[in-house]
Amino acid sequence: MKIVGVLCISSLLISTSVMAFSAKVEKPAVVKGTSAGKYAKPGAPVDISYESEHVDAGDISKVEITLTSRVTTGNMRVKVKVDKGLHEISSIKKDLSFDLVGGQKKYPLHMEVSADVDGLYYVRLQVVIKDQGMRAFAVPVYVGDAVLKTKKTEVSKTEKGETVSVSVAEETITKE
Amino acid sequence: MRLKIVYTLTVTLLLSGCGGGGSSVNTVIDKPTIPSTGSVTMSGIVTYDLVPSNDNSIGLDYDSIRREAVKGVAIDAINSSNQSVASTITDSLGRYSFSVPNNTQMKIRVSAKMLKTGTPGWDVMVVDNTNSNALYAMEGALSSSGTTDSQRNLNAPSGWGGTAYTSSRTAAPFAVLDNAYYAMQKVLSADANTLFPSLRINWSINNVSIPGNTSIGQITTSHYSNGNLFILGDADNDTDEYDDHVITHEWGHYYEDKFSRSDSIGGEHGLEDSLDIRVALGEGWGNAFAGMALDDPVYFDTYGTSQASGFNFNVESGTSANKGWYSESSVQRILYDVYDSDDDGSDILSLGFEPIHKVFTGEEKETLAFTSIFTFITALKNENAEYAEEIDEIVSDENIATITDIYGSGRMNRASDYPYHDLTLGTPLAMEISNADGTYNKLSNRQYVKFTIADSGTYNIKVLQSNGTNADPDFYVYDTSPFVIVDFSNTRKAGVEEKIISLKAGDYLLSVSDYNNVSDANLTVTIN
Repeated sequence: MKIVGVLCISSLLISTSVMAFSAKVEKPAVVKGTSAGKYAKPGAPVDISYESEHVDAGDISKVEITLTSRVTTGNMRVKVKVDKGLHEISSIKKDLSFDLVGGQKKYPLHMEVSADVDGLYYVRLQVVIKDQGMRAFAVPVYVGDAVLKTKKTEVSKTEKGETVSVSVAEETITKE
Repeated sequence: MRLKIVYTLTVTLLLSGCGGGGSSVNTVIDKPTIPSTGSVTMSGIVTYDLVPSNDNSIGLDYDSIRREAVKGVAIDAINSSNQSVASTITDSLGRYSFSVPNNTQMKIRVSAKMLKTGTPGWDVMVVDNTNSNALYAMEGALSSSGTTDSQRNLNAPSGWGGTAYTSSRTAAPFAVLDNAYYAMQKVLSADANTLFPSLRINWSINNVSIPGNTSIGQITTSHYSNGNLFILGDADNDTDEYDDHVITHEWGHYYEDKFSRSDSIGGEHGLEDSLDIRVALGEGWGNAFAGMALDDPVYFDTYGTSQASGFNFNVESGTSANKGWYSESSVQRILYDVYDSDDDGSDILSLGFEPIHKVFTGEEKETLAFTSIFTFITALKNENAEYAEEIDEIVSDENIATITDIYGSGRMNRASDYPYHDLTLGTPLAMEISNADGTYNKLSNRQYVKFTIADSGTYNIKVLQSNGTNADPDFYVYDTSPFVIVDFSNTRKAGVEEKIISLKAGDYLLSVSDYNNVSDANLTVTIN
């Protein structure tokens, strides 16, 4: 899906927040986002909007998630997972099911989470609408420095100055 | 399906890249700064672990991992001083061979990059958008080149540890790149002299499904944007490196952008949706092209823990409860039927890819209407008049009345949602915006107004709600030749939008929408 020239306030908000991550946050700063109107690969007809509070380690972040679907018959199943290190203060069922009925097009989820260690965490959702495909989402929870703690491969420069991320190959060497 | 076509496709990429002459082509670059008393030949095969989908096209089958050739990529012999002493590209079977200094410590580096200057030409690389945009590469170990010829075979492992990824997912960038290879092959089959504009593919294990900052992996979902593909890598939730059709679908959007034209406004979409006609064409094209490029009509997308879940659909034999000119699934079946050689039902046409490529790079690029199934079919029939009847049959099978012009005049199916309206300057034109099929990019969210400016000058465009003030009308103005947005107005005013703009003589389109997405907004457009 191509990006089109549609300004998105929420994206701008997120970018602003990310730029400020190196400083102590004024808590709770609320980070908002939505998939509505954004490019999307083929999949279930569902959008997500969210608000999550950027908090310091040990503090509670309220996470408000709203799934929106225009499908008015059948059922929407939602699986929820939280990253390791993210504690659920008020949890929700991990396998949710919503009857898709006419008129009700917003399906809210409320969570409270906290983490002992600074970082960028995610609440992950997998949404299935029968016969209409699937869609996955990852709602960010920013804690303290909000830096993603995934181990990164070290990068190096080639003789031509190109930055490369090198992994080890499986190799067999045969001499003739 | 991928394995099948490895051996049936020509080695166009390789031959074109190196001037032809055989299935194993080598380019040797001996660096004069490296002292050497002699040379030996180093050769080998480069592969990656390909994780196929399960037989039912739901989920990945890690028990059936096979080694697939790494095709057309850059390969270097690197000495202990980190200097390249020889370089070449792999062929369509992953083979390489070059002459290197003997008795020299060196390692083989394989980069996730396909580069060729000249005609045809391309420049494709896979980078980590969350790690300094570094180019992915894999390397073997430093070892002496010895005094005799030798072979070094390299494989990129998947990193799968039995129930989860437990080590580096080295194969992933090469799996992603392979889809670009097949997509380019399909285009080269229609035009062997194609010059592919630069494409950067951004893949990372940190790429997750949420909009935000792409440098930390928040890429919304797998998508194309401005010369870049962004591909998900979020294991156990949604990762797409082995979802070939997803990647190739997005490559199809790169193709539209760089070789043709797309007026799609994007947004969430599904197979049963009634879509804005521009979106229906773009998404249907992406799905159909994936089937064409991969010679496999079954689109699949894997999800979930261990990538064990997913969904699929067939762009050839699939069906839909909501066929029509506004349906991406109708579009994909039409395009695939035009292409494929399997006759089924009303499809007795087997045009192949070349006529489709000719339409997209020709009339479709310059069309005066918004890009849609109407513009595509009109151009296809213009170019292939002898097959007009067969084309009409395929179109008719999707509940679409015969298409006779680029605007799709004469709709029978959901005729009241037909989006085009003709406006005479000075005469109010009434229309209705509806959210009955959803919002933003669905059918009847936007209406199109055709009008002609005879005399260059300033004109007042006014869109006024006639059934209240709860709507927030917006509009975009398009010059149709060349096709470009010339102005827009999207202020937050209740029930009205108005702007005075300068227009030169010519034919224009106005796209009118309602930001508030009220259920039914009756709007009146006036241009004075």
